[in-house]
Amino acid sequence: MNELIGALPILLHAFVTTLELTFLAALTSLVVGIIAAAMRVSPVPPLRWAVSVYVRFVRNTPLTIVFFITVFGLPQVGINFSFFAFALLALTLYTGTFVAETLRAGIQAIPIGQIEAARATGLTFIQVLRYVVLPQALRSVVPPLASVFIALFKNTSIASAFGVAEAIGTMTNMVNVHSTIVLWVMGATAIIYIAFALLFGRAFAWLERKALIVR
Amino acid sequence: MSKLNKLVTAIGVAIAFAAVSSAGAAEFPAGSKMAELAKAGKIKVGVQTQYPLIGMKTLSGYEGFDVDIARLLAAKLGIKNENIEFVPVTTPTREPFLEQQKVDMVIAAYSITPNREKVIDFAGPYLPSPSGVMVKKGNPLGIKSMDDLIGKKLCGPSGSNQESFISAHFPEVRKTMVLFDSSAKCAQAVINGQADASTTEVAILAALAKQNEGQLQVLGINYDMSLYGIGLTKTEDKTFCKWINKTLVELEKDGSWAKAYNETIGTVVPGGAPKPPEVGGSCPG
Amino acid sequence: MPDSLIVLDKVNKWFGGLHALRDINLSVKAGEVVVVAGPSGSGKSTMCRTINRLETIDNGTIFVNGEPLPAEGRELAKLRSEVAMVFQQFNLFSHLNILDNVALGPMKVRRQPKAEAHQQARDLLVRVGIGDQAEKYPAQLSGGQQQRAAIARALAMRPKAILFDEPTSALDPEMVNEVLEVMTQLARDGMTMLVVTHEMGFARRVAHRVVFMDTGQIVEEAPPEAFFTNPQTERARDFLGKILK
Repeated sequence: MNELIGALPILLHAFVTTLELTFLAALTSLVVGIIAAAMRVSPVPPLRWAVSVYVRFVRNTPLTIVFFITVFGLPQVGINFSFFAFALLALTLYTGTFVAETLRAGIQAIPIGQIEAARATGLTFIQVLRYVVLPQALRSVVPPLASVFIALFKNTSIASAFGVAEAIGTMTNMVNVHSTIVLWVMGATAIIYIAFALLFGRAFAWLERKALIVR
Repeated sequence: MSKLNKLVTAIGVAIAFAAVSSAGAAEFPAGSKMAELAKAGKIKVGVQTQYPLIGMKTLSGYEGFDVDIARLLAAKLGIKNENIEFVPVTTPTREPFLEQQKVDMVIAAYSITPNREKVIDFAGPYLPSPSGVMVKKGNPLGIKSMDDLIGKKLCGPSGSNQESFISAHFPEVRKTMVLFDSSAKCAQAVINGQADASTTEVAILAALAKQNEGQLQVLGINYDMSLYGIGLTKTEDKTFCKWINKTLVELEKDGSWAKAYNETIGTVVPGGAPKPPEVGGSCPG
Repeated sequence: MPDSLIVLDKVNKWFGGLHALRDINLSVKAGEVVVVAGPSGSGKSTMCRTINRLETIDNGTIFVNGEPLPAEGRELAKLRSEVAMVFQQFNLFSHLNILDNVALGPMKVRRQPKAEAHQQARDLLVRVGIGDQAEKYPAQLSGGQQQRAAIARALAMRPKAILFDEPTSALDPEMVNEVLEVMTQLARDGMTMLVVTHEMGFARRVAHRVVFMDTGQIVEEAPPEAFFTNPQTERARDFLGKILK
C-alpha cells in the first residue's frame, strides 16, 4: 500500500500530459470537424467528395494504424515533428471524423425552414452555416460530442506506444518496477481515468443546460 | 484391525502406483507439479511475442531462444511440442498470470529482480542478457558511452527492464528518453532520424539491425547485465523450481542449451554461445 | 411591362412526373398587392417560392427588377435580401432572441453597425405591436406574435417586395387577425406584396388583384371585386363556393 502511495504522484503527473493531449486534440478536432461538416453539406461536389473520402477512410481505420502512418509515414516524406505533435495530429485526424459525423447528424436534424429563412434573408452559404446552422447543430450535439471527447480522452493512451509519456506509458513503466502491486497500479490508473471522465461528463452536462435555450 | 489396515494401505498403494505408471511418468514424485503436468500431457507457457530471436510470434508459430527452452523442458516432462500452449504475455500481465495460475511457467525475457521474487518464484537463470545501444549506421553522433546519451533522444520499450534500469542508474539519460511499445518501432524511429539511439536487449538489437540491413549499427556499449529467469507460481516446497534448475544443468551438459542459443541469438550476435549462468534463482542449491 | 417588379415568363416546374407549374405568366408591379388563391396542391406555394429561388424552375424565366434571377452565389443572396419572405411556419431562428432574429440580416447582409441594426429592430417590433417581446426567444411567443416578428424580420431588410407563403395557415383562429392587421397596414404603406392565402376577406379588402390557380396553372386573374362577384371559370366558382359557404 505504501508502495502505491509512493507511486501515485508520478502517475498523477503523467496525467498532465494525458490532459494536455486531450484538451488540445479536442480543440483541434472540433475545428477540423466543423470545417469537414461544413464541406460535407456544401453545394460544391468536390468538397463533399473530399470530406467523404477523409471520413470514410480515417474513421474506419484503427487508431493505432492512424498513429503509425502519422508517426512513421510522414517523416518518410520529409515531414517531421515532435512525438507529442505527431500524437496530437493523429488524434485530431481521427477524432475530427467523429466530430464531423456527429455535427452532420446535428445539421440534418435542423428543420429545413430554419435554413430557408436564413437563405431568404440573403445570407450567403457560409453565413447560413456560421450564424444559423452551426450554432443550432452544436447545441443539439452536445451530448454525443461529450461521448466523442471522452473516447478521445481514453484514446490518448495510444500515444504511449508512440513516444509520448502519458498516463498509460507511465503506468506500464511503473508496473515493471513495482511488480508486487501490478493490479493496484492499474486499478489506481483506472480510477483516475474514471474520475476525470466523470468530471468531463459533468462539464458537458452543464454546457448542455447552458445550450438548451428555450425553444 | 491391523490386518485390515494393511490391506487397505496395500490396495491404496497399488491403485496409486497403477495410476502413476499408466501416465508414463513414474519418475516424478506423486502430487508434484511435474507429475501433474506429465499426467495431463500438456503445459501452458507464457512467452513474449515481439522479441526477435527470444520470443517472437510469426506466421508459422512461436520461435526464439525462450521458446526453445520451453520445448526442451516440456520434452523432459514427456510433453509433445504440439501440446505446448504458448500464451502471449506482456510486462503488466506476467505476474498476475502466474499468481492466478493462468500459465504453468513464464519464459519471457523475464529478468530476475528482488521485487518480482516477492510475488513469484524464479527458476534459472538460464540466460545472461546484456542490454545495448543501437544507432544509425556510421554512428553520426559519435556515441561511445551511456553518458554520451545525455540530452539525446534514446528510444526504448516502455515498461521494459532498460527503462527501469536507466531510470535508476542513468537518470540524466532518462530525462530525454522516448518510449514506444516495441523495439521495432524504436528501430524505425532511429532510421527516420526521430530518435538518436535505441536500446533494448543486445540480441534484439542485433536482430533488428540484421532486418534493416545497412541502416543500423549496434554499438559496443553493454549495460544492465541482468539474468533471465523462468517465472513460476510461488510455492513453499520449490519442487518444480528445483526440478527445472536440475533439468537446465542437464540441458547445458548435453549441448541442447548451446544448440538452441546458436540457432537463435547466435545467428546475429557474434562470439558464439556464452557460458550459461549458474542456476539458483528462488531455489538455490 | 416596364414598371413590373416581378415577372414570371412561361415558368414550368416538374416534381418528378408531376407538372407542378404550367406555363406560368405573372407580373407584379411595384406597390401592388397580389393575392394568390386556389385549392391545396394547386402550385401556389411552389410558385411563390420560385420567386426567390427556394424552388428552382425547369424552364421559363423569372425577372426581378428587370433582371433574370441569378442561379447561385452572392448575386442570388443579394436578390433574396431584396425580396423578403414570410413563411407559414414562421421559421424564426430558434437559437436567437426576437431582437437578434430581426437584426441578423441587416448586420450580416447589409453590414449595418450593431447599435443601428438593434435600434431599427426595436422600431420594427414596435411597429408590428410586439415591442415588449424583444428579449424573448421564439418558443416563448404565441404563433401570432412569432409571425409578426417574422414580418418585422422581413421588413428589416428594407425589401422591394415581400412574399407571404400562407402566413396565417398555421395560426390558431384567434391570432389570424393580428397578423392580417399588420399585413393590411403594410399594404397601405405601399409595400409590394405577393400573398398566398386562403383569407378571402383579406383579399377582398386589401388586394389589388387576385390570381386564381388550379393544377399548376393560372386559371383566372382579376381585381378582387370582379373575381368574387363574377368568377369567369367553373373551377373558380367551384372553389369560391366551397371556401365562402
